[in-house]
Amino acid sequence: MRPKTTKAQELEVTFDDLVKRLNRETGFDSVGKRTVEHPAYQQIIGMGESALPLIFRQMESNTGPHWFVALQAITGADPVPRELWGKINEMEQVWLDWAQDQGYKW
Amino acid sequence: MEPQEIEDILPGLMASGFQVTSPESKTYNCVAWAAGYDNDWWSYLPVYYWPEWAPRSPEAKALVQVFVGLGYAVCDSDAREPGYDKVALYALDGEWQHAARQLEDGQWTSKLGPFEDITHPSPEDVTGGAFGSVHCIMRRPFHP
Repeated sequence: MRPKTTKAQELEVTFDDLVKRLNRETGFDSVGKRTVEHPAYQQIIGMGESALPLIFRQMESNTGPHWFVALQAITGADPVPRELWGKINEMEQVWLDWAQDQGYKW
Repeated sequence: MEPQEIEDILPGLMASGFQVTSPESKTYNCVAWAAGYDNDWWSYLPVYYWPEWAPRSPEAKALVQVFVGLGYAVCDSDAREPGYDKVALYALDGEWQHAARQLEDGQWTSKLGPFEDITHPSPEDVTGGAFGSVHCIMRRPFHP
């Protein structure tokens, strides 16, 4: 008999599988386009707010792909000032600060 | 990433004798690296840095404009020419995919998306996969 899992655990497994698939199938994407257009990335966007804690956790541990487009799509927010575009560490910190201000937990 | 995995994605590297020269980093990409920077991600997508003198466009000619703005001009040869910096720009189906920079010893350095930097003997070594083919070679007078 399979052990019982919570909905949150199932979501995390799905998320991790999608990220692995993304990493495997987008190769050396320097543009970012193949990543954000990939079905796995789009599926994560489709998870909506429930994906946010998993995304913020990845950001905080400095792993995973760039999540900026997904975060904009899910939250409708755009907290990164234009002068920071492309400065990945600073952009991630802006999003993490924004998430804390909004009361997200991860 | 293991060398075998790199070769799986860019099979042209298999016989080239390429070397991995950095740890993985998702904070800069090939275009920034070819331009001489290792602290920004340069792409036309509206979350990344893109020089104001070039159109934010996937077209290969937009990437050419980026390097024109840095003092480069299209040239004919990828051979080492003392007194010149050179870059190779790559495109697939008319859209830019990659950029590599020539080193002083004549080899080329490529940043592989969010993974490592490598050196490879020829611009052709990283063609044939996701990077497409060499769109053009550009050069500028040596810029220390």
